[in-house]
Amino acid sequence: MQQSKGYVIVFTLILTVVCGGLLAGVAEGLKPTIKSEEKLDKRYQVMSAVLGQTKVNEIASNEGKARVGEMFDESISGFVVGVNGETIEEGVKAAESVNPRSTFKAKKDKDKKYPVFEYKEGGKVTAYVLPLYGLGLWDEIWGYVALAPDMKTIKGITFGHKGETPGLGARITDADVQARFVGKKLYEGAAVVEVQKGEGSNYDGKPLQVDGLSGASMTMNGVNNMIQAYFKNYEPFFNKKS
Amino acid sequence: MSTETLEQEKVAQIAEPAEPLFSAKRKRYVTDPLDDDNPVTVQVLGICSALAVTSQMAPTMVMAIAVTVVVVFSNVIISLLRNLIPSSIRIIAQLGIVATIVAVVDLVLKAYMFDVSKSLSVFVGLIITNCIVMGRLEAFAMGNKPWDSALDGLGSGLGYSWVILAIAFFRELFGSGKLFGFTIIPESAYTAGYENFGIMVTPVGAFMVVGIIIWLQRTRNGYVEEH
Repeated sequence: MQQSKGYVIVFTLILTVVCGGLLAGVAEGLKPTIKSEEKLDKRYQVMSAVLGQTKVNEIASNEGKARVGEMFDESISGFVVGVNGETIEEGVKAAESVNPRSTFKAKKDKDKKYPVFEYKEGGKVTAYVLPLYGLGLWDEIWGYVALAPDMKTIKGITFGHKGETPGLGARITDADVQARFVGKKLYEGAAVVEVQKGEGSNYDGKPLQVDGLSGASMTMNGVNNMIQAYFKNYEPFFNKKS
Repeated sequence: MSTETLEQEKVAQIAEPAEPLFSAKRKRYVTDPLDDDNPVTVQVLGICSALAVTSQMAPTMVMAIAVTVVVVFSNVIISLLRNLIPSSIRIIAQLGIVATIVAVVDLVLKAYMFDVSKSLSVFVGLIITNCIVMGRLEAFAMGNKPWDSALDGLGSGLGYSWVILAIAFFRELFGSGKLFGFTIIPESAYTAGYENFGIMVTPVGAFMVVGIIIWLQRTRNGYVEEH
């Protein structure tokens, strides 16, 4: 049947208000849970960079994911550095609250914040964890790299991605792929560690070369660019430290 | 393309008031889409997500449940509103309701199954454009009572689910030697020279599996494309 124009308009209005109201209510109601999940996920990634994904997954499946969050509280401290490597904010809370995406998009130097997490074992800092953020083939990619106290040797690395191809670029989240970076040097002079083309070559004894992923060259270009860019971002800080 | 076939589809007769809850006809609403009228293999709808999310069993399972929930609820809601929705704006009204339900599902996954929602990423949002959902609303819920629509939605959801789970089974088993993340193919097979089929983890592998399923099913049922 054909309804009048007035009916159509009123129906549309009511539908919009009901759907919009419902959505806003659910989003508002679930917001605290989602926020805490996102925070825990970040901590999970930082801990994975230090201890390795396999070990952290094991802890999470044995003692619950919340335990990983507690471990973060127990062992991680942090601060935030600015573009010139100077400390601009103290405390792990400040470091946690920095969103690498906003820094990536920031135009002004004062908006660029680079968090540094320190992993302490027995009161001594045994690893520094830095975030990474960049663009893969299809969408954003990110990660955390854990460096030994010499600020050069990679102790561990984790990657995440939003939409890389499953089975190809998405393999950057696999533990065995991330393990390929362990023991490499983040940089040597001006040269930065780089994932090579092709897969299956042996790069032992070549601290700046990492075995690549076949079929995922574009994603790996993104990873290389991301690491290069973040090395540049933190370079003033590295220079200050050493 | 796919919507044309749906429009031609005969809309079932409105049920008698005294009909039992699970009459033979109503059972067929659930069982038909499982086989003879399967949304994926016969109607060839929802192929995009069937290819995209099926590389592993676990996210596929969640996707199957999410689609089933969305199609049942949207079918019921549209069926309740079927006499109120103005025909001139029915498609956008359906879309609005589906989009709301999907957004709620997405939020719930984010809050209570964060890791799963991370691995499904954009595909949850894409349920909105899954032709199965819109197809059932337009072809069935707009002309039938809520209970029939719920059963019809359940049937289509389950029909979609078993196909994508079957695809995921073969893709994960042959693509990475695992099922639900647990290693199935033993290390000894790999040392003996067995290798994972790399093609299975790509969407191309899904195309091949869905093709084989369609072939087997049509051979068994003697289904022939009408010209």
